[in-house]
Amino acid sequence: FDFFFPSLLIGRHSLSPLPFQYMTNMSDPLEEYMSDTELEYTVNKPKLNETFSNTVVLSNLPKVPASKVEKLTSVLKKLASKVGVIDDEVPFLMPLNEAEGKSHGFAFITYKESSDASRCAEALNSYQFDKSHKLSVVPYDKVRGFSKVSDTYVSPTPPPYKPQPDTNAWMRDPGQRDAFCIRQGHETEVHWADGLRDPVLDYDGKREKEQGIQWCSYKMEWSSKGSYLATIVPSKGVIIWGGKDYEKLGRFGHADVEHVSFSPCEGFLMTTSNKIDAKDAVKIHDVKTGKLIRAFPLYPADSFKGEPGEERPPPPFLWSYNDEYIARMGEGLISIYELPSMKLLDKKSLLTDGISEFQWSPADNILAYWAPEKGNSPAQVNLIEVPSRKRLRQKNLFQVSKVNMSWQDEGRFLGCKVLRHTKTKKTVYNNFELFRVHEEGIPVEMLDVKDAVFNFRWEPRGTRFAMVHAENKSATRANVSFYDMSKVVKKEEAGTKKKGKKIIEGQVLPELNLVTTLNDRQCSSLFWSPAGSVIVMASLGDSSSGSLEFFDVDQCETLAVREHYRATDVSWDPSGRMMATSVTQPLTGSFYKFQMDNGYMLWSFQGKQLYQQAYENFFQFKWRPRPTLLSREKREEVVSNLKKYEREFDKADKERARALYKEETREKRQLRKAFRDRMADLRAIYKDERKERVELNGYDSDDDNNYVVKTFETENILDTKDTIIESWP
Amino acid sequence: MRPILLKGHERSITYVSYNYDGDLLFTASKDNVPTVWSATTGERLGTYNGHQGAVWDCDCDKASVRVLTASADATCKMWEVETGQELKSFPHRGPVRGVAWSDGSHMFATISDPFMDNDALISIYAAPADAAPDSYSVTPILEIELPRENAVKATNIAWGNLNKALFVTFDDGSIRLYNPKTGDITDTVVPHQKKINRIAFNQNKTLFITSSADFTSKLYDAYTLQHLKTYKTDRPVNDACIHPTKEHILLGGGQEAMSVTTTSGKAGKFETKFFHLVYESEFGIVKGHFGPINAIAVSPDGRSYASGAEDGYIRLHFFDEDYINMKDPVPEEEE
Repeated sequence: FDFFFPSLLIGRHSLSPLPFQYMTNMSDPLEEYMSDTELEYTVNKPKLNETFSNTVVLSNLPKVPASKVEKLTSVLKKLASKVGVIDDEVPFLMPLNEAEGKSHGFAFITYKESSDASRCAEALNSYQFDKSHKLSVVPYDKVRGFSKVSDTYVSPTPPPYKPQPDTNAWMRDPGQRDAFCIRQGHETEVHWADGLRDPVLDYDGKREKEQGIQWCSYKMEWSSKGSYLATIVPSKGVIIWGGKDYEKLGRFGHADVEHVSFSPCEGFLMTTSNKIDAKDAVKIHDVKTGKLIRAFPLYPADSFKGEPGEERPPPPFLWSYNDEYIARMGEGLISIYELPSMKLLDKKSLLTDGISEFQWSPADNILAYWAPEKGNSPAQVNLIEVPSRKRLRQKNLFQVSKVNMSWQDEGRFLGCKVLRHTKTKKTVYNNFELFRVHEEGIPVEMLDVKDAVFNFRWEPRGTRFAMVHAENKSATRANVSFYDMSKVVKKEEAGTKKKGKKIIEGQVLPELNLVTTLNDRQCSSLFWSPAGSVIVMASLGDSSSGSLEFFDVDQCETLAVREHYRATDVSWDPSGRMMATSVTQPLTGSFYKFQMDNGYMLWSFQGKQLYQQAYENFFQFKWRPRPTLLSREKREEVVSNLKKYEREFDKADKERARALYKEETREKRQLRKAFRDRMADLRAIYKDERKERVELNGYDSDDDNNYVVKTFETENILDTKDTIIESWP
Repeated sequence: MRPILLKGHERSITYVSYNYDGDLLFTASKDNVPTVWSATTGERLGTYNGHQGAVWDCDCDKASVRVLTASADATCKMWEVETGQELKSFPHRGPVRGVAWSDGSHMFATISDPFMDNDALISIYAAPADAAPDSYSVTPILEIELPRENAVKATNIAWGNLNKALFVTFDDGSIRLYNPKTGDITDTVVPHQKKINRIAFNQNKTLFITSSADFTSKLYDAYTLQHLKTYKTDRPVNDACIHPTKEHILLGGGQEAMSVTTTSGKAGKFETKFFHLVYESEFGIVKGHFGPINAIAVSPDGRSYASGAEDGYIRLHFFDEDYINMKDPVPEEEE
């Protein structure tokens, strides 16, 4: 007979063939529901599970005699059922070695769900089963794969060596130029600048643009020595670029990353997110391998109790100068981790009995920290040597509100600005504690300052420091004082005795002395040139004008007073040739009040404006840091032979300028020729249209014969004056 | 260079232009009174009184007989240049944004903004020079409706060479070319991302330059509509013009009027900028205004230029000899 099902019923009775009777009886009234097409008859049987994904193999079990198998089985089942539901239909297998009469030391467990099986492989792997047995749990499917492995070992062939790009290539620039990177609109651009010509573009993510991506859409940061440029990919992580062509050299995954910082020798990278609850808000990576070494929450437990939304201090991590350690401040302790293992040094933190702030010396493994007053014990500034944990120096201080510590960049001095209060806590005053760290016994000098001190900066590689101070905190104009930690003996002092020793002219004494004070300046921030001697005093911020004063401390004279209206940032290039001022806006936040002023300016160290560039949206300006390769002696040698080098460089500069000029004029000449040719073509077309034009205008306006030229001469009498030259009586 | 400061308008200047001969300077302002000045002495020769609203645009015919003004009072008026007498008023259904004489000055075109239920319009009127102005019809010979698609607004109008096309600029950064006989769109170019404030031709109408709020000006070939050069600035550009005798571009602009109060006059960027036509490089600025420059015009002989600004002043500058004798920075011959 014709075998067919009513299509309406098939869903309900898919597997039970209908009785013939039923078919014949019911066929008439249901006729219109019947389908004439033959149906594909499929049986909805459960699919045979051909994988063994629910099964795991436990190995490294104790080998037990047959009598103890049952006990071990129940222990293992109990353990395994903690992870998931065991499928009881599949027997628990623990094969016995017939010859030895002992179990082989492995067993099979099958779970009801494959997800439980994989969880088991994760959770129970390396589980310390008893004293001498650490479990190894492997999914059965994976074990099956082992059977295909050949018994003879073939050593893998190492992948062909791919040379890494030279990340120092930029330092060998023939023009001795310095590089800087800007974030502007959607662009991220690296430019060269040498202070003589306008900046030249080096790389702007062209290769990535061709692939339709942006090489940096958020923040960028140079590494400490300028080898890499790190760019933050929001919600993904950090990419580092380097080499001549800015190749992608590494990727560091970190969701919600907000900030990136390199260790001083560029061996490690710390990425930070703002997630206060995340256990891995701070991640330490190895730059070369790209591996994550260790993760931390932002702050040690309970050390930060701020309200949500309140401005938070940066995570309390600091690198030591030579990439040996990273230290983290906790409640009353500093945890020092060794790099690259990230293990706690000597397995214990450094207990400090209260701590507010710490700093590594930039040149030695010395930690400086200060602890506030606590009960009857005074506030302290401590210098600790690492790894010996020897207390090199301790200084007790009383009635302390706050201490700001600042190292000189060679680690020779540590300056502590101490804000103190009187017993009643009504008035506050400042004093400085200046540590001579490289001298025997670390002598400390004190300097009292009555004024409010806003800012305090050491001269790079020098012995001087500068500070901004004013009578009260709200003063609009301030004074700037310069002090020197060493004193050169002058002629008139020579011959006198000091500490029982005769001093001679030109001798350098370790004595603090005031160099000069500049009164009544518009200044809120100080920026020493990296080459020393020159300092820029700037007033930055919303309410300031952006005035800049270039001051030569050696000669004690002002080089120039300039202004960059609304300037928000000032930064020196690493050589001290140029300085950049910029008006930037925050990367987040859509509206910025001074958007019209966005852009940057370049200045020579004498305060001459070299270049100016404005942008619709300007976010970041960063000079590429340059490592110091010359020792102090070498540098002094160069300075003493400056004349010789000057001639060489001047010559090279002139040649380069000449070549550049030729190149530029050739290009421009070509452009001009192309344009003038087009204009000639256009003029020809215009001439061809003469007839039409005459028709339209009624006359030829380009024909000079249609014009009557008349020349007028007008005489204007501006003034008349009668003068009697001589009068006759 | 010491400019003549033309004080006469009470509100911001919207447009300045020289007549064909270069002896007269016409200015339009939001104070309702278009004014004519002597382009050589800066003397105020007369005003055209009658408009009830801000005047957005004006255009004088080639023979300097009739001047047209476009006003927000929904009329376009024709005046006798010499006497200041109103010859004819052409009523519109919305504020008139722009007006332009055709080549030959036999007809003119206006653009009017949408108002109430009326769409924006391009209207072309006949105004033959040899007929009496009384006889001019106030009904246009052609009306082109600009539908309110995407709320795009027309900003400026100009006739192309030999009346072959009408160039209309829009605030979405596009320029559309209309056939003045049929009203069809013949071409569209999109030079800018933001509003085009002005379009200006050179004397031969072989090149045109656009000014846009996207901080750039662009130079185009008027025949092929090919983009030639881009002049980048740090401010919205309100007007730009091509110097008639030198390979230079003059740009005027400044931050938007609404944000003027938040910055100092020093930083307002109200200077006239000079760019090299070919190298696209800026080489000079002229300061003076204390509001954004809305309009700029160079005299046909290239010896002076006028700029009108939001501050209500027109500054008439006569170039110094050293500018006029200035040579191209790149020597003509290779060294």
